[in-house]
Amino acid sequence: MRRAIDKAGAVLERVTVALVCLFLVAPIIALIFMSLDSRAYLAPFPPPSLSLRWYAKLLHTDLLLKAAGNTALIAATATATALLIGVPAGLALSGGHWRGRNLLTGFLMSPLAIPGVVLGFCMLLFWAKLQFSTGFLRLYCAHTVLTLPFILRAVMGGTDGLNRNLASAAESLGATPTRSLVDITLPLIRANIVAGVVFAIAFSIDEIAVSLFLTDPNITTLPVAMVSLMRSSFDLSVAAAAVALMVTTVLALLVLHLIFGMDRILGRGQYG
Amino acid sequence: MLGLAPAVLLTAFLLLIPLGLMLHESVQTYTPGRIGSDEAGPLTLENFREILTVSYLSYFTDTFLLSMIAAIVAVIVCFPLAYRIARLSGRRARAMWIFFLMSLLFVSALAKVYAISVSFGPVGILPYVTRAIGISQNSLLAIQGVVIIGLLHYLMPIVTLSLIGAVQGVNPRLLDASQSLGASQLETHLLITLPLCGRALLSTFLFATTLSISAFVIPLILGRGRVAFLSNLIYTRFGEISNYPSGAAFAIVLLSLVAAALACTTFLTRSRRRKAAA
Amino acid sequence: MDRRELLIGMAGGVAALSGIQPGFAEESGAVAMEWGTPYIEASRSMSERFGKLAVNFVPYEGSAAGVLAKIKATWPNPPFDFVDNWSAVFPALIREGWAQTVSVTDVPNLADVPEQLIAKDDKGNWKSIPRSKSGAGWGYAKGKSPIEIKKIDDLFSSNLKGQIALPGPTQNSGLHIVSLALAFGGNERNIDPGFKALADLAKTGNVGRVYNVFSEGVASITSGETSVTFTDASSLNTIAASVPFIPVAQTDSSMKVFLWTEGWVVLASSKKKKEIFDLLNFSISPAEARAFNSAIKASAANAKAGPIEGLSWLDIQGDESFKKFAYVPDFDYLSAQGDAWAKRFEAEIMPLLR
Repeated sequence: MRRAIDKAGAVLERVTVALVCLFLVAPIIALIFMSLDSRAYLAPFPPPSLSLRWYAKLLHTDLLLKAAGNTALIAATATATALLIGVPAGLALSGGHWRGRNLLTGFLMSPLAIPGVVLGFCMLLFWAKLQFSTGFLRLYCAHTVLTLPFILRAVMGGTDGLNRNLASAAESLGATPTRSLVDITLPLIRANIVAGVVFAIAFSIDEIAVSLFLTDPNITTLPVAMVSLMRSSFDLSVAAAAVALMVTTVLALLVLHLIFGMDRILGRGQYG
Repeated sequence: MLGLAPAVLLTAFLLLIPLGLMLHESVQTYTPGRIGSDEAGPLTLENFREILTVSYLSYFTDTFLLSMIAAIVAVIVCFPLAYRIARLSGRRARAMWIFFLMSLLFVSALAKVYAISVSFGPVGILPYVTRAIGISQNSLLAIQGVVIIGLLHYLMPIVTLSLIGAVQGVNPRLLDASQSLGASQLETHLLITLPLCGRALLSTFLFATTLSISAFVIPLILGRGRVAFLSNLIYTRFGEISNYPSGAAFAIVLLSLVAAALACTTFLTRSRRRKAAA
Repeated sequence: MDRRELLIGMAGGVAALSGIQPGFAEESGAVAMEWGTPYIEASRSMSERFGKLAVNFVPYEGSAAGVLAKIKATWPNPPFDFVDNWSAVFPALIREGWAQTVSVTDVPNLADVPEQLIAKDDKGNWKSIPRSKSGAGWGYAKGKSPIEIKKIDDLFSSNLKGQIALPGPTQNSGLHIVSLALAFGGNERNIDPGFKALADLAKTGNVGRVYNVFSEGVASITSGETSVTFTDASSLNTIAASVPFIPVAQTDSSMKVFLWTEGWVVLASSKKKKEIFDLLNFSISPAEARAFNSAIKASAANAKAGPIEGLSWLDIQGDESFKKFAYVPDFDYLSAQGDAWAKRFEAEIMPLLR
């Protein structure tokens, strides 16, 4: 009886896992097929014949190409700034327990918790009051605030698992705090910081609800351009753009995975 | 300490001041036909009063109910997967799984929503499913179903990844001990694994709910204008009818609700850590 | 070669291959907001033929009224110089003081445009450069819709379950609500009968989708999800390109065709007004007006451009027929109702669609 229940349980588990995977993957495969649809408008699946017409059109859609460039530029500059101010802040926050530390951590992490639409709306009001801004400045500032939590979390996660004795040992051997930071701490948390940067860039590239409020005709990001294309035209070049974006992300991840090992970022837990 | 200064100053300048401005905007008067708030008008709570009428109830129920359903389903169906991955012995297999989940996490949310709208929407399998269960593909239930599917697709990779961490925290020796003492696998799961992961399951559920509540693109594209979340109403206030004060009031309400949900999550994780430390 | 070099090499390769460059509009050009396909293509080719001013035409993200919020947020330095818009949004642009005054001296071709098409402020100053006369009405997909739509009562037929793609309250500034109001004894100033009819319509279960951007409505019909909608001439033409779609015009006085003007407004903040006036003067010249309006399917505002094919349903001749089958609402009044009607729709109609 027990064996039977266990067996049934095991089968059920397998079935659940298989269904979850199917559910996660099937829509994406359908999307890839739709992006190859040869019909001129959105019509029932499956497409009667395949063509590359939407990809060809994509290459001639200036809006999307420019937006892709802007997205890369904003992700790079914002993440770099977040890195510059986030690493020192993360180190300061992980230095022992002091009053207000949790509060301050919560405050710096809060941009991730606030709904994107709320954040975008209030930032727009802010820039409107200033009566001075450019689209790039608005997006750059918003994305810096939004990517900062990823860097902070990475640094704090890294130092959490760090043997503090190493740094103290270095200092007792005569190294200055700066020296011990540069020679001991930073190299040890390098993998964490890289992971943080990856998350930050990925988040920035995909951000939409905040950016929707802050873009202007001179500068728009890829997801915003895709939404506006989804809403202003009828064809499937959006599907092609989505697939192209997807392939780019997965390739970038694959490269990182081969270099750093994605699973190591997550850790194995104390019993792993 | 000095290292904190730039980060704190920047976040304060770019977050606290805007939030303050929004609070101020939410009590301003709006004059129909004008754009934004009427600076000369008197301060008013009218914008809030309007939100808290019964007619807006359905937006709140849609936002919260659909989010919670999606979060519960995600936690339930992802737990077996997380358990399986956490207990995999082969490093390569584990790495493959994590890579798979990470890729899904990073695949543009927009691409995923579009994929769902294509495969589960009216041009996909929706007509067949709705015909099979005898409802119209344009019925509210069908639309809510598709929105939940969209939320699920968005939540499942994140939920699985965070549950893997929880399962890793369970000492496998406890499970071995339980089984060697004669308990079946099922009993071991029910008596050992689940209670030990209970808090993690609950906090993951709350975290997933918070993520769904903030969803914007998913209901925008999949809700077909009939299922709308609070985020969508806020955007309409801004983009379609230029009534900033009303939009700001909605934003304040949404923000408070999310903050409350997050406070619960934090409370749960804190007490878990304290317990673990004890 | 270690892993880091590999990474840098690959990143460089990807960047080089993609040929993607961050794009800022050239400082020398002008920026304009325009509707999506087919408008934006028509504008681009017009400006290419003009050749003396580089213009970056950017599509609206949502409705054309959405541009008001973007201007408000960046005034006095909005990031665009002129916008393509329509009767229902001109009054708001004028009220806020954003529209630049124009005259026949600036744009000589305005002499060929009937004066009543030009939007004016309280003092009678000209504020818009009319490009087209267009309109909207109810229509249905022949063969897909279970019944033929002939009069307003047909929308409430029990055979039409889930078949109507209903425009959201801000679509076409709510003209479809005015259409229902007119059929049941009201008008834009007495909108209650319209909302009452809308509530009845919602209760029938005939509404399959509510759309807030016109492309969504178009896709809903072409994909077969729904088969009846209230739509403007240009979207109607796009639908008709993939499925047979019949506008209900001049069949019954309960289904009126709404008429309006579309055209350009130059923002008072623009630093390139002279060049833009020259471009827009070119755009409304008879030949250009003809090309543009053939592409978007609307009648040209310029009287010398001649009729455009396939628009007979908008062309309602004779005072008596006009009174019976067509309607031109008070757009000035209409433009101040967006907030009230949207809220009423959210509060009174949406719950009934559940």
